[in-house]
Amino acid sequence: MLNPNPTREPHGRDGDRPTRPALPQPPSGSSAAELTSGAASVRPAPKSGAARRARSNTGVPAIVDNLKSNPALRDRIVHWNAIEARPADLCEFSPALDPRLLKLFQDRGLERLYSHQREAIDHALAGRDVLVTTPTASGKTLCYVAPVMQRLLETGGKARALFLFPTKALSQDQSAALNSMIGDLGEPWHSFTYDGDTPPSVRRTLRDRGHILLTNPWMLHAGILPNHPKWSELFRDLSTIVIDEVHTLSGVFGSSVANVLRRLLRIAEHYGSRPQFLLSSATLRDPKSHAKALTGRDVEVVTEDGSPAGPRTFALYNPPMLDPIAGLRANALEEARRLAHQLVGPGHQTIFFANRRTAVEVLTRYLKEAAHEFGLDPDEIRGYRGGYLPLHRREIEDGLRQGTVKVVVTTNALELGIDIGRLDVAVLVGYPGSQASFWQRAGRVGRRGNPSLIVQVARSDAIDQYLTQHPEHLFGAPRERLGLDPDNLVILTEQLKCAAFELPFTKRELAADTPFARAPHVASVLDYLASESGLLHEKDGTWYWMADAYPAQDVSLGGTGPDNVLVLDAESGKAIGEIERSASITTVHEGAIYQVEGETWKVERFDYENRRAYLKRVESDYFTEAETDTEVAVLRLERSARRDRADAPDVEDYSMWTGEVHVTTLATQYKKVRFYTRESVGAEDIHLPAEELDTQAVVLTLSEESARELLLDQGDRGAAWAGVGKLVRHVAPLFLRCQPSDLGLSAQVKSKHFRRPALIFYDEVQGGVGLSEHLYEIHREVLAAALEVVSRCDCHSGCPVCVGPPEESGALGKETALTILRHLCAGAAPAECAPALEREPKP
Amino acid sequence: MPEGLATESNARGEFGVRIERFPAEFVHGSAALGEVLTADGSQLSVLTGDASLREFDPRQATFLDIETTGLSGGAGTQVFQVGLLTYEGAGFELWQGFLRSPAEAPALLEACAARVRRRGALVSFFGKSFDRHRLEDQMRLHGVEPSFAGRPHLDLYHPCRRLYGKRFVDGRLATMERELCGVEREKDLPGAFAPAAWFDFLAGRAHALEAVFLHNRIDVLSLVRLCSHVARVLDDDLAERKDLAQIRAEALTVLFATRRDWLRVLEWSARALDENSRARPTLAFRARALQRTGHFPEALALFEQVASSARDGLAAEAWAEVSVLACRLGELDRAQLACGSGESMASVTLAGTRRARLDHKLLRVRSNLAKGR
Repeated sequence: MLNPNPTREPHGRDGDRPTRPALPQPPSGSSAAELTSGAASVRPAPKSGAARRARSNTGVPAIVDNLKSNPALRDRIVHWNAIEARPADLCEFSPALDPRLLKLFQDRGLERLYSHQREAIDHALAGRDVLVTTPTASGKTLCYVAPVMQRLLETGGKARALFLFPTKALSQDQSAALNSMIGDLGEPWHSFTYDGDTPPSVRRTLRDRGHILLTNPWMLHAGILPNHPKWSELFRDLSTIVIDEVHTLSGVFGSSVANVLRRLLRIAEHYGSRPQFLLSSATLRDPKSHAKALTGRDVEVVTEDGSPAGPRTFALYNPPMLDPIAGLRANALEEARRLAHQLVGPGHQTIFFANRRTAVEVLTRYLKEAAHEFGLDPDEIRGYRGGYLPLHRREIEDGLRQGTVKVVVTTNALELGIDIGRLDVAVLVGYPGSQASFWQRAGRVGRRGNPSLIVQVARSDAIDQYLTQHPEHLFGAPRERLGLDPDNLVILTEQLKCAAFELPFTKRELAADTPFARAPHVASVLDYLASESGLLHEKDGTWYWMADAYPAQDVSLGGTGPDNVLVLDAESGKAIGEIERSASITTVHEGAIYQVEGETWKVERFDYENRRAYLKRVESDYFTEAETDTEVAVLRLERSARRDRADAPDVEDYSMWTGEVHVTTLATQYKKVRFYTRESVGAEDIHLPAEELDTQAVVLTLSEESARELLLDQGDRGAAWAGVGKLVRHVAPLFLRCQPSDLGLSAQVKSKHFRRPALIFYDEVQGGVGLSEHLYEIHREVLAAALEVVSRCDCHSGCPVCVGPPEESGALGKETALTILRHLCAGAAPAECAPALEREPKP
Repeated sequence: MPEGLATESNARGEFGVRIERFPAEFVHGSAALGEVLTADGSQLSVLTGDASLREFDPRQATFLDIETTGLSGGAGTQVFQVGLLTYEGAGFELWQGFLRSPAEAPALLEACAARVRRRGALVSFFGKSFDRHRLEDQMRLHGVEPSFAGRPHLDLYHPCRRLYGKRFVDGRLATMERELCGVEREKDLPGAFAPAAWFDFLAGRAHALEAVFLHNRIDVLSLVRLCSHVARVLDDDLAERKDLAQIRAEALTVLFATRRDWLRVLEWSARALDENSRARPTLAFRARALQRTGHFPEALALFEQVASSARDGLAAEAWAEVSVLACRLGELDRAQLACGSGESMASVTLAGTRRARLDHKLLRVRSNLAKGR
């Protein structure tokens, strides 16, 4: 049995004491106890059953011992990493804090601060912008709550604060905690959540009465900023902007949000305020420049974590080889299911992270069906993912906090700071795609002072296998750079429309030190919007919005926008979930099996136009997997670099290009796959319109001479070319901050456009976000990493870890790929040449 | 530049303005504007349920209508024209402020706020939902103190809709002024074209701004006439089209019933019947008023008429009332029968709270009947 933490407050079940959400994650003085919102101990409810009794004594040390001694398992754990317990580094409260605030913290059992909290609060009180990058549950919330409260006290309730959270759930959590603090201070202030769920009838009251506004980037973008006159009081006295989890603000979404922040600062300036930024994030490489790109400010960065941690054990588990010739390993999800027998029990809480929603549902179902073997009731095992309805999610979060839920299977939905307390064992089914995500997931376990265990189960793919050989990638210093490009012309143009709607632009503004003045080309974009699009009217050096339109409505922030498909019960018409539009053609097409916590629903009708899918509850022994067909057409080329052959100067060897492409994706058919056995039990066609994408791409082309030398012109070797492409696509996320799925790939042995072998990698987002541009610049490093993967791989002739099994990349696949990569990596880097336009091959 | 445009200036700059005067005898539609000078505030107050309109003084009122660059709202939706009409001793004065350039907005808004502040109540059509918010948004944006809060505001849309909504195809001002005030617009520019006219003007293209000024002028004058009409709907001698008398009497029956003013329900339902009304809600409310004023046998008869004339939720409810009244008057068999009819009709016509309320009522009647026998 794990230590139930005696300092935790019971969660409102004791009737005799009023429940009060505790301060968000503050440490208490001497014990530095973790006071996450009144979480209960995890002592299991007294239930009967031999299995439950037999299994209720497992704790993390016992689990670890068992894994190490179990002959069937110990060899599969290719890497152990133990991180020792670390004591708390405590400091006194800063003397500058208001005595009323000090008393409030002391009344809540908070005697001293962790060192990073003290540092962050000191910076904030001195008026500096701050970014705190310490792990989950290290008490980051206090770092911004204390300064915000201090400002309110100092100004007699005049100051206003805006909190931005990446998800709705997080803001709900925080609002309750803030209001409880305000209540204890006895002040007539209010914090409130303003999002899509806020009923229109109360919005007005909230606008007029709120001191602290909690919202999300979408609401800020489409609801608040365009209507800033209604919020003029907020903007007039806006003193603090808090943004939580800024590492989630990357890619297109992050780049758009950076522009939304420019708009926000611009409006604040209009009303005469200059708010301070208080930011928090997971551990990042170069956090300072990320914050600068996001906010345009030079922030103070606090990285030294002063919170205590129990001993942590990491295990990298590589599933057994099923077919050494083909290099095929056992399915990671299946292995996670088997490992559950070691890792799950009634005496502790376990969290499984999978990377795909289908995987979450399939694993949830498996675990529920085997619940009795773990000594659990099926209801103690829950699935949790984006797309579940808010109340449904709240209920599962409560269950986790109170300890009634013993096992949760989730996607990245539980990666962020939603308060579920800390659990004991985390199982990562596959590498989450970034080091930051890996640590966020790992941060979900480890109650104060207690040992915790994190097991990563490797999949057969290149990146997971690479990590089993290179664990230092996981445990070393952060090496991922966040892709963030607020000046991306497409994003900037769209955001400038919104900004011009909100306030006219003046030439004077663009000449001064103002948020948009830092972006290049703003004046020419505005001129374009005036003369070409007719949206603006330019007069006397001022651009006025001049159209009968509300631009924010049509400008997406990227990421999972509001363009969701509603998933409905065909009989009752009730919503059972939602899904982004881009994923809908492969998940809610007619005939698809849609899963919710192990229940299976069949899609009866998909109203694509109106974004509604109608489902019927069925007992299905199979799930579905859709296949898509993608075509890439090159529209325009921009930059290019070329390397000549070593043996013949002036004869081209290989070239790199950047440009724009048009991508058409069509869902073609779906397979029905039986649970457990994964055998295919049939396939059907899908009839849906194609998804279209205009985006940026990077292209690698081989000259005909080199292709001939590398024998690529010989039939079956062509498949190896695609193998190289896939490998690069899988390795690149180690260098760019993205998921392999953020990069699209089209491998062509004889490209229609280039008339020679080409690998086209493109940003898998409308308009592009600069991933491919970045890849263009670092392609040498990525190719070297890819070469290392292949040359170190133990397989004979290609496997899923490197270039793909021989069935995919041909009998000579590995050999050919190795030759290609060696050829590319040897010698000099290509040199930048004249604009690509002039080099384009003429038909 | 539109004709006859003068320049007005204040501390925030200058803007275009066109002023036009109308004698009280000026006829707009079927009657003179001056009729409004005898508008009865107490009627407006009864009709809108807004006590602040009881002291409504048409000589102090500001009639307001604006033209904007769109209907969506938000900071970028600009108010490029403000039409304000006031009574200035001898006649009416229409003041049409206009932006010759977007840069003139602060001055126009400042002037608008000041003019509104100087007078009493506001009169608009849909202004509580639209005009006021567009103006306040722009005022806050440009740092002008808005002057609407706390000021009585007669938004004619709501009483017009309440009185005649059933009768007309829609609730637009153009419909109301035509049907109620006899205003016929010739060559009117539909409001939706106004933004384009202004954009054309700014861009130096051929534009239809003159039509926008005319459109705004008719809108404001119609506000005056509609106000006269609405402030008189309780009068016996209201001049109106014959077919509207019935619809007005029915609407007022419903209005007073929701206010529980049973004497007025009796009065207006009687008028509706005089005008050959066959509307069952009117009958049902009259029956209810009769019941509440102690005319039980008459109420019973009328409820029975409502109940037996259709098969719907109202009929089910009427049967329930019949059973209650019959029980009270000691006609137990009749009550018993009505109970049964009510139950069977409710089972196919009613749901939710209406159903629950009815079931509860019938249950009480049943238990009274059981005791009675």
